[in-house]
Amino acid sequence: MEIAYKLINLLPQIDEIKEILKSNPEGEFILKKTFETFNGIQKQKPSTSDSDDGVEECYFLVQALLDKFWEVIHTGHFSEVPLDVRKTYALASFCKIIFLLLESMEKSQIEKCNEVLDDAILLGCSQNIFSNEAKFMNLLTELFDSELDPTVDLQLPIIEPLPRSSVDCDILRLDCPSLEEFNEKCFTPQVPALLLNTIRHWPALEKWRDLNYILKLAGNRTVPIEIGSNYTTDEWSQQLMKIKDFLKRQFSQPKQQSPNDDKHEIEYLAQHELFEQIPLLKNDFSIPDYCLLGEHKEMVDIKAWLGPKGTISPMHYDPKHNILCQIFGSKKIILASPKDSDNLYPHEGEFLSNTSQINAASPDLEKYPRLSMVKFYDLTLQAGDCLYMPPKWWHYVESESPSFSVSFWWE
Amino acid sequence: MEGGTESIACNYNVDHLATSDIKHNEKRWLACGFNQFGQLSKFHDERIIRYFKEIDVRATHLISSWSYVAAANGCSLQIRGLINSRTKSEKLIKAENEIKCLAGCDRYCLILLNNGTVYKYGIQCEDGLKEVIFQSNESFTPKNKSIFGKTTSACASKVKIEKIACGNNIMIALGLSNEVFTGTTQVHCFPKHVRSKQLVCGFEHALMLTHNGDIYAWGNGLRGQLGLGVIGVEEKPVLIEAIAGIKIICIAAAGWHSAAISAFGDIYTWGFNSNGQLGIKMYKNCTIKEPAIYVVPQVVDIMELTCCDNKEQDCFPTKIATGARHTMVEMNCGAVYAAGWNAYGQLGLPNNELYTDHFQYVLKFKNCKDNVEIVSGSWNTLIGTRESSKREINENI
Repeated sequence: MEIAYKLINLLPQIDEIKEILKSNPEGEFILKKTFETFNGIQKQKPSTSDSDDGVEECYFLVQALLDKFWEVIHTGHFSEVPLDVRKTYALASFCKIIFLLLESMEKSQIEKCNEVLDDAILLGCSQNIFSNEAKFMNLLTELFDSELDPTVDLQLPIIEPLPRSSVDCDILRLDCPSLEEFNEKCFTPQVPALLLNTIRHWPALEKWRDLNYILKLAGNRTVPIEIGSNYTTDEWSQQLMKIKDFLKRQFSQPKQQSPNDDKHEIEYLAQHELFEQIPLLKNDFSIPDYCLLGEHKEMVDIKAWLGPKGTISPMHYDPKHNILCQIFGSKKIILASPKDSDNLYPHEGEFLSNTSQINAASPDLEKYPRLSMVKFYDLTLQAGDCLYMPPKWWHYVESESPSFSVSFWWE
Repeated sequence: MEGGTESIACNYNVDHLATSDIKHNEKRWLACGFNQFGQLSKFHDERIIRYFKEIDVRATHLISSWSYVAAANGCSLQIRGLINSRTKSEKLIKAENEIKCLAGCDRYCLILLNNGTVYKYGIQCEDGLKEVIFQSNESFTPKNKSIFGKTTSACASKVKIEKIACGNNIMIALGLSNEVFTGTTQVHCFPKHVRSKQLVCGFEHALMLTHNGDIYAWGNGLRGQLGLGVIGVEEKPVLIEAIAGIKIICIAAAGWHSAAISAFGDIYTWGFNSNGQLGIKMYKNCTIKEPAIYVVPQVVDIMELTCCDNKEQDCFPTKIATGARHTMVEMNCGAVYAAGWNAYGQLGLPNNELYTDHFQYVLKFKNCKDNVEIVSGSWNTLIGTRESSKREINENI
């Protein structure tokens, strides 16, 4: 309860968020009423039955607002959803957390609060709303860390380092190139390269192999997970789930193979901005200096790729410069130049036009005869290695073991 | 006991009803769902009306948005709910001409009059009624050659509107000469022989049903709601090929999904199955979900046909209506089935389930099955009946 009152104290005055609410009168109506109710119970604790009614009604209203704005946020392109809508969603989520904590402080309730906060971060926009927001978030994070330790119920393995294999590599290999060398040999001429020994100093290489470390820092957080080995197949889907559930299913040993669940589906934490969500993990690596080359060097997208053996990203290309860094495990990678795009049979339609229809691991030359004209480059990315891919280079990526990679995209 | 004043089931709250003044063409309305802003009924204080109750509205046309309900009767329009930040507010509007059709979204209500003019009423702003002018775009009309060989491009003229529909991110109008407007910009013109039967909108897509049973789709199809087999955006109406050739008799859209009924009595649904609104199961097992997006129309069966005891009787769907995340089906026998989100009681099911991802029996109208009209709003369902109706409650549930 005490914490709920502390959180109420940190909430903004309605005037501070007036601008955000200006364009959504329903949000203004509901949040204004809720803030008034909060102020009321703050003044007259312990609560009276009168204020209980108010609390109950406001909780209902806040939930309705969240449900309504969930619809608004899921309409149209996410990037075009007005920021005010997403900020209002975050504010309403903060109110919901307070209602939940006023109701009870049981573990299951705190878990619910954790989910609501993730929702506020993933769907809403929880930054630059009010002056105390950092304090508000810290208070909650402290609560979650102390009450919900996912390592209590779950023990995960430590991934053993693989012996380094000396496999063929069809592309340029550079041993910890200087910025100038990288610029001259890779960045300017747009040549892909395997960069060796450039991230040896990252603490992540040692720390993240212990999946319990990731579990402890990130286990309760909700992330989008891809289900099915390959995003072009019909069976593929994506859903939000907690990292601890994903880790448990994909990495805990022995793999639970109950009779009803013989079809063990591959799940992949892919292309997710995990480090925005869990900044503590950012301390374990740094942005490669090579990203300084480029016009928008301050805008580097950092994405996490964590999955078991057998995750596949089919042959596709991305519009930005890309450095893919392997933290643990190894990945088989096949590259092709943008010059060969016409012979790689991209999917038709707006959304998969950057993805080839072919299976690069075993190309079907009868079905796709022009593939015989394509020059493919094979390589294996091992722990501690980085792969530089210039914009629009085609790449196929398959994990050969449990694997964690971090990618840096920049322009 | 056919008809009669006693025929309203006893659990209605009917005290306030003046049963004698029902005029011809007016409907009585039953409603369930989200009522936080007093939009369904000022006499029912519940925030959620869990099961259908008669509400104090008499209207020939009715629409329900998230925060308000608009009811038209002749030349008058009544809007109630959250208006200008006040709940349980009411606003009365008189039109110069009889109201032909209503459409609405969160921000505004569209009013189409019999004379083909359209007005827009902003719900949360004070600036009242504004006429919406639709002007033809000459590039869509065949150019007449004058005797001197010059093309006489008739300058853009105001178009009389026949049908309107809107969602939060889209507004569509169909002109008397088949002009199609998205917003107030003409994007297409159907050939003369195409006659429109229904025009509906979801949050961001539009569907038109023609009299010969084809469906055209356009707008944002990011969640498969266009039914065109791909995720994408269409600026102009595109025929849904997957069910072309099957005569469709009724369509619906309101959120991110679309629904249709064929002359054979098949139900088709497509789009986003976030809450089971397609009548398709959501979970593979207890943790893993099925894909939620269906880009082509799916035939969906009512698995448990429990409306009529007589197994010989052939019950089949005849009409369909959709809310933001739910779907209601009306059968030839007068029964109503529902699927989708029920967190705010929008399905009218007597249980408190949060959703149902298969069609469930809700209720049945015995006497006036030909006069029943289902209007699903955002998080509501409203059923209009022209005569006092006898309703049967499913005791099995």
